[in-house]
Formats: sequence, C-alpha cells, structure tokens
Amino acid sequence: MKFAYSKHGLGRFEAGLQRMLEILPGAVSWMTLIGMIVLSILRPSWAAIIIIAFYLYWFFRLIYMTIFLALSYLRLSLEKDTDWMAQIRLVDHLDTSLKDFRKAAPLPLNKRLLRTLRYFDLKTLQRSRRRPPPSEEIFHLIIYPVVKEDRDILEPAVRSLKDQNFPNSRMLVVYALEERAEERIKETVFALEKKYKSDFLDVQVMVHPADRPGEARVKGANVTWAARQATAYLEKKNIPFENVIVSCFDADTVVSPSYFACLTYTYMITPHRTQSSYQPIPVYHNNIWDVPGFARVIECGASFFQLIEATNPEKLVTFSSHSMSFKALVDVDYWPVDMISDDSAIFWKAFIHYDGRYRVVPMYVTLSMDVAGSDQLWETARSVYKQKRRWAWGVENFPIVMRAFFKNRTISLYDKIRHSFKLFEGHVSWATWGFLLSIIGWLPGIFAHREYLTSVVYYNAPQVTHTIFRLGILSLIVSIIISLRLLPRSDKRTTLRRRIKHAFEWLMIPLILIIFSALPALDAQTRLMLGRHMEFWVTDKVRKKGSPS
Amino acid sequence: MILLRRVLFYIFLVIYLFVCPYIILRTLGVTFRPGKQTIERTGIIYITTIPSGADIYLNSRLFSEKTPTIIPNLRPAAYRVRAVLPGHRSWEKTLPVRIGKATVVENMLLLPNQWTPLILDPEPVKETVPLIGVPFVLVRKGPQMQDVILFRQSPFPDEQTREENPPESLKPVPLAAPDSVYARMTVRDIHTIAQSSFLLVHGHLNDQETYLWITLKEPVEIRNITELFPERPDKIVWASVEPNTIFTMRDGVVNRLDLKEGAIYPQILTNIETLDAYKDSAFALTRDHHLVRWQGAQEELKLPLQDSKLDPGLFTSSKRWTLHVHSEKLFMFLSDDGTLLSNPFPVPVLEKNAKDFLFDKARRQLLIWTDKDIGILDYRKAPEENDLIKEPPLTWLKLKQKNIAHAEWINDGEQILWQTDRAVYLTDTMSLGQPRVEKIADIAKNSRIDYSEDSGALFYLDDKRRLTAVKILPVELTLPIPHLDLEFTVLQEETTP
Repeated sequence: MKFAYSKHGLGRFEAGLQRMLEILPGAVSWMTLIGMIVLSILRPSWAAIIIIAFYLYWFFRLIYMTIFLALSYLRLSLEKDTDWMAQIRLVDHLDTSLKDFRKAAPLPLNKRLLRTLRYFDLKTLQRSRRRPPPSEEIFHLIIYPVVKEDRDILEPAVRSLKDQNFPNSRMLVVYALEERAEERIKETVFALEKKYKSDFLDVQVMVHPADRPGEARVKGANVTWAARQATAYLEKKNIPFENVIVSCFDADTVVSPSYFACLTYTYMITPHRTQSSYQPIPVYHNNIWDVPGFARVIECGASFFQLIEATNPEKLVTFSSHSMSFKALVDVDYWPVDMISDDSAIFWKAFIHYDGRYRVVPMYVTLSMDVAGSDQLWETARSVYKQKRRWAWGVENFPIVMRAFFKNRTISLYDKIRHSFKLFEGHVSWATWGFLLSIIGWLPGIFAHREYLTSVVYYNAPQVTHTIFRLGILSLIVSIIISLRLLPRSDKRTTLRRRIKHAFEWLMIPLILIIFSALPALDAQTRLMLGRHMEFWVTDKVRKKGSPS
Repeated sequence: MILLRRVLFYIFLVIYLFVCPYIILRTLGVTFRPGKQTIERTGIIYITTIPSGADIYLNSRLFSEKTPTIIPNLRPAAYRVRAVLPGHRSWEKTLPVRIGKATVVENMLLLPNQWTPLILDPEPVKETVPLIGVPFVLVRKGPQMQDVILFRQSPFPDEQTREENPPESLKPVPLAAPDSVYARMTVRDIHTIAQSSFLLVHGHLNDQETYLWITLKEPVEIRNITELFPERPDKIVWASVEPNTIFTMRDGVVNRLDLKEGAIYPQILTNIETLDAYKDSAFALTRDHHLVRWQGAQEELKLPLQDSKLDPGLFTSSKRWTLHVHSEKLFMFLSDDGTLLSNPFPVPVLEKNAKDFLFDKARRQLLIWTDKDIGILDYRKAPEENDLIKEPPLTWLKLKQKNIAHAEWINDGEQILWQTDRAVYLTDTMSLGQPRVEKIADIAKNSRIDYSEDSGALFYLDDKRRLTAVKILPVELTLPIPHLDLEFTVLQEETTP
C-alpha cells in the first residue's frame, strides 16, 4: 500500500485523526494513574481489589516473560560458538547438506540441538523454493551516522567490522556525516575513511547537507541521505539490491566477529528475505564498567527485553541497530526523515508498504553499544533519562500506524488488532506499571479512612501483595543470574567483586522502574499528547581510556 | 518457540482467570466451605502483642501463627481470644467478628508474670524531679547541689544481661561534683520544662541567692546566671527549642533574659496573671483575661480569644490560672480549683476537679486526671469550627481509685501508666469503660514516677525511697500502622486477668 509514513502534509481530516491518536496513549496513561489515585482516596477498597488483580496479572506476565528470557538466553549461549561461515556453506549447497545431516555422527546434546535447528532452517528453505543468491554474491552495506561522535567511539566500531570472519571485501562501510558536525569530527571521519578504505570493498563518507527542506534534524534524514548515495554506488558497481543487506548502526555499535556471517546465514535461510528485517540482541558492554550501577541495570533490562521479544517473531519490531534487505529499504523509500524513532518506524513503514507481509527475524548474536552516560552520576542520570525518553518517543508511531491500518484493506483484521494492541498496550504499560507497582499500589493503605481501616480488605490486601512480590523475587534472581552471565568475560575488569556488586545493584529496580522507565515514557507520551514534539537529542557517550572495544 | 509461547500463554490465562477471582474473594473475606458446599462472608481478627510471638487460642483452639497475625475467615460471632507467651500473663477477651470487618487488637501489652525491679541506688532519696522527654532521671538525696544526682535512663539492661547492680550505664552522676564551687549550694527550687535539656536551679550559695543554668549532658555544664535575676521571680519559663531565652514574671511584670548576650529586657509584658513560652514568643494571660503574645521587637499582640471558642468571660472568677501553650493556636488553661479550658472544642474541657493534664501533640489527645479518675479527649474527632453541637467526647476510664497523682501515655498511647500517692498502675486505653488495671509497684508516699520512652523503663522510689527501675515495654521495632479510630464498644467486655 502506498502510504506517506509521516505526520506532516496531511489533509484536514487526516490531521485531526492524527492529533486525536497522538492524544490517546498519553490520555489513557494519565487517566489510569489519576484514576487509581482518585479511587485510592475515594474508594480504597475498590482500588485495593483492582491493584490485587493488576499485581496478579503482572506476576503471571513476569513469570511468563522470565521463562522466555531464560529460553532465549539458552539459545544465545548455544549459538555462541557457532561457525556461521560453515553454516553459510551449508546453505550454498542446500541439497547436499540436507542429505549429509542424516549421516552425521552422534553429538552431545547441545550440538544435537543446534544441528536440529539448522536442519529445520534448511528444510524450511528447501520447502519454500525460494533459494537465496550464492553467499559470494551477498554484500553488506553498513551505515554509521555521525554527528558528534569522536574517534574513541568510531574507531572501535570500524575495527570490529574489520575483525569479521565474513569477507571484508564484500562490505561497504558508509559514514553518514552531518554537515553541521564540528570540523574536528569531520577530520576524524575522513581520517578513518582513509585508514580503512583498503580493508573493505570501500569506505565512503556521505555528507548530509544541513537543514534540507522536508527533513527534521533527525538520524533518519542523515542515514537516508547516505543510503540514497549508496544506491548510486551499488548501481554503478552492478550489485543487485536483493543481494545487499543494509545495517544501520549507531556510531558506537561494536559487532561480534561472527555478526555478518550470522546475518548472511539468516538472510539466506529466510524465504522472504527481502521482506524481512534482522534483529540482533543488543548488549551495552562497551563502557559497562565506566557508568554508575543504575545505568548498568537499566541497560541489562533493555537487553533482556530484546531477548524476550526475540522469542516472539510474530510481533517483533526492529529496535536500535539492526539490518534489513537493501531492496526493501529502497522499496519503502528509505527511513522516515522527520521522525526520531527511525529504528522502529522503518519496520512499520515496510509492514504497511508490503501490506503486512513483512516481519522481523531474530538473530541470536549480540552487538554491543555504549551505555548512555558520562562519568558523572547526575550527568549519567540525565543522559539515561533522555535516552529512555527518546526510546519511548517511539509512541509517535502509534497514530501513523493506526491511520495506515484504517486505510489498508489488505492487512488482516487479526494482524491489525494484534499489532495495534501490542503497540498501544506496550507504551501505556511502559508509562504506568512502574508507578502502579512502586507507588500507587500502596495508596489505598495510605489514604485509608475509618470505614476502610476496619474492613477485612485493609488487612488482607497487603498480605496478598507482599506474597505476590515475594514470589516475584524468583524472577529477579533469574534476571540477576542471566545478567551476570551476559557480562563480558573477556573483559579483565569483570572481577568477582564487581559481579557481586552488580548483583546487588539489581535491588535498585523499584527506583529505576519509576525514574528511568515509567517517568520518561510518561514524559514522552505527555509531550506527544500536548503536541510538543521532541527534537533529536544526541546521547553523550563516554568511555574511559583503556576501555576494551 | 512460537507454539510454546501460545501454549504457555493460554495456560497462564486459564490459571489467572481462576486464581484472580479466588484471591480477590478471599481478600474480601468471602470463603468457600467445601463440606457445606456454601459460600460465606467472613470477618477477621487482627492482633498484635508486645512482646510479639505470642500463641493465639481461638475458642480454646491453637491458631497456627503467632502474633502479630491476622486470623482470617471467621464467621460472624463472638470469639474467645487468648494470647499466651511464656513468662507473661495470658491475655484473654471475647471479641465480636462481623462480616467484612476487622476486629483489631493492636499493641496489646502482655504483662510479665512478675515485675523485676532494679534498684539503682541503695541509699534513700528525698524526691525525684521528673524530666519529661529527656533521657535522664533526676533525684534529690539531700539539700545541697552535690546531692542532686542524674541517672541516664537508657540503655536499660535486660534481665539476662544485668551482671552488675546497677550496671555501668545507669551509674549516678552528681549535678555538681564534690570539688565544684557549687557543690555546697543549698537548693531551693529546680525548674524544668518538658522536652528541654536544661534546668534552672535556684538556691543559696554563701548566703547569696544563686541561679544556675544547667545543661543536661555528660559532663554536666553549669553556668551561673544570678546577675540576670535582680529579684526572685514568681514564675520562670522558657521554650524547649529556644534555650537562650528565659521569661521571668514577678508581680505581673514579665522580663526577658537573653542568655547569649547576658542581658535583661525588662517589662516586655505587664499586668500579667500567668505566662508560658512557645518557640521565640511569650504568651500570657493578662489580669483582665486577655491572651497576649510577645514576639521579638514586635508590639504586644492581643490574641482574639473572643473570636475563638475561648470567651474571656470564662475567666471572670477569682480563680488562679496557669497557661499551657501547645502551639501558636492551641492554648490550655488550668485553674487552681481544677477547671480546664482549651480553645479548641470543648470549652471548658472540665468544669472542676482537674488535677493536671498531658497533651500529646502528635496524636492530638489530651490525658486529664482528677483525684479519682483519668479521662481521654481525642481532638482528632473534633468537629468543624463553629459547629456548636458536636463535641469530641471526654471518655473516663472509671478507675474507682483515690489520690491519682499523675498519669502518662506509654506504648504509643495504647496504655496509660498512672500513680496514686502510694502505688503505680498500668491501664489499657483501648479497653475504655472497664479497663484492665495492673498494679506494678508500691511507691514511696507522694513521690513522682518517671517513665522513659527510650528504654521502656519506669523509674520510681520504692517504699524505702530507693531509686528503682522496672522494665515495662520491651524496646523492639514494630511496624506502625495508621492509628485506628475504632469503635471501642467491641472491647468493652470483661477481661480475664
């Protein structure tokens, strides 16, 4: 479906609908919070009962998510040592490989599991009759947007590309450099281009002119400019777009050595590979020990969220650094140039463009980014808050997606309801749950009046909620264990003492839930509700000298 | 994985749909009796004891949990509840349970089988000087300053840890050491103020009138401020939070003494009948029965008693009044014949026979005693201003005793410790009507008791006038819950001691 994925240039009716839908998430979040506060004051018994029902719901959902967090982590651990280049060769020789599977010698359980997974991958591909291009014909376009990132951020990222076990000669690195960047930054980028040009198919610097009409000062405009320039480059080199996978990374993204091999394999075995995005698991290990404890816990939470989401590809939406088919990118007319949340917007844009025939394929491989922050506590808190608010600004997709769903006649009603509910409920719960769990849940007891003080509910409700919270600790324990296991073991700074300290940092969760999760989400929704749109804010990222990259 | 997600999702959904209503109904007190195949609405009993950990018997059957606890799913009826803790007397009462309601017994003090007094000083003591809200006990053993002795109230040793008698923490400290120049000063009066860590001692040293300002700390600090007293005042007051200012009154004239500057500011108020200090101000009742306030350099300020509930007409008798200022808006007046007036409702609190009173500002409750009884007035139940009909009730404990000399709250207002001229007793406030009255000890005739909130110990002079202490409350952490304005009728039944 042809749909202008933008909130600008709308007709009167469309603009009114857009505005109404912009108000909806924030209004529902505020009504939930204010409604519960008012109910706690006026009818504390009712509020206590609703809170118990909510806490139970939260508890079951927590356990449900913890199960899939554990399973997803197990899968990630299983895939850690996979030789993806060998897997690519299997896809290249699909029929022979499938025959060889039957002859394979007995293996330990974990290897057997992996072999089974691979077998199903290949079998699905064979059944689909959608053979991929040979791996030697697959190219990677990697785009790094740069506006204020310094060499200590940019160079580890490009070095990680150089260290890939996928052939560098099929990797085109593009620096999407903002014209408004400082001269010092520009010089660094051009120096990096010169230094690494010979290591890849090419390294190009595409300078995005400042303040182009029709664009906001957002990352999406910058990378779109770079991608358009790259289109010409690829055409000139006669590389078909179907054979190009584009990875749009944050400037600090350091990929694991097997990332592009894994990506290539996943691309090849995905039947509808040009109508798919490829989502790795983001971890934030670049400067994990350089930031205050609360920031570590928050970013672990972000990784966990992606791990859990990876188990649900039907509803998975792209997040942060990810990859997709270049053909799809060109088909959908690149990233939105007027939206901050380009990472998720590109999925919705493609989903609508292909009438619902677009999906995100999870990849059990990590890429590492920086924890937003500086070496100062308050600066870090400020940076983390702003980063989370920017993530939560993804709510800007809701009104546009809904408008598209209203218009689209091809996407099934089931898909429309499923996706719109998840999008809406996800943002509302993001903004409200922290408050409900940490503060509002206790209000009926605090505002208890004479009648309520003598009721059985007043005495029974705290017992029930305490029991639910005590059981919820199980999930916290699993989270602590997985977070400790996710930490970079090769990093010499990951000492036993630091691990123990990190385990205790998880006790800050109630505070973190409010300050760095619910509050920024509510802030973002309120801004959208009031029509105070956010400008793009570039997160400060600081690494101490000697931090591993 | 998707299939597993779906399967688990539906399993969790089904569990939630069953568990959630079940738990909500239980929370509401609705319970299912499988034997009778019926659903019943029930009530609960919430009981906490001090000390905690008591076994609870409900109609002679042992309940599975110890205090503090909730006894759930009780059909509406009267239940005989007994709390039993080794080493303590059991507590028993019949409690009514109503549908959907909680019957609350909070901070029920379990009394020990026998009180274990600790004699702090084997020598007889002349009198105790009560220091309210200060962690010391002050006693006079003789006429001189060196005979005025301080005892620290806490930490008070447990029975098991009392190796010394008295322990080091409770060793006496003389107010003036024998080698001090003030050691042989003859003490005439000791002035104290509640919550103040200062004393003003008036006496004679070398035939000279002497006034000493004493800071209660270790070591004790003594400052001679006699030069600020050109003549002997009738009344001396200061505010607990403003220790550098003293107000003195003589023949209706009030002077302000600035201890920091060592200066007298004379005649700040005149024609005064009685006086009190609050923060940086002096409040006074004039002889023509107006309430005035002096604050710093400001003019004397007449407070509008006429506009409040306190009509000056109430003072128009020949009574002598004392003023007690509890806040900038809350005043109480006690006359020599026992009339107690208060500017919040009711006015007057008591027409006659009030011996004295204590006001708990935090809980807004007034404890008042006459020669024969103790009453409680709860200002939290006060009606709106200008509401002339409803008044907070003054509830009497009906003690049927004589010579009640003093009373004070303990255990966050759950019990009252009170004394006659011969003995000290403990009473539950929650059992208004027919309270449990427990005698703790006989005391020296006309001596005053002193209770320490910090250590939970009672200090008194035994029948041989020895300073003695007994632990009343174990100092333990209890989770406070909002104070309950419960209908006390549920607890008015006879108790079994």
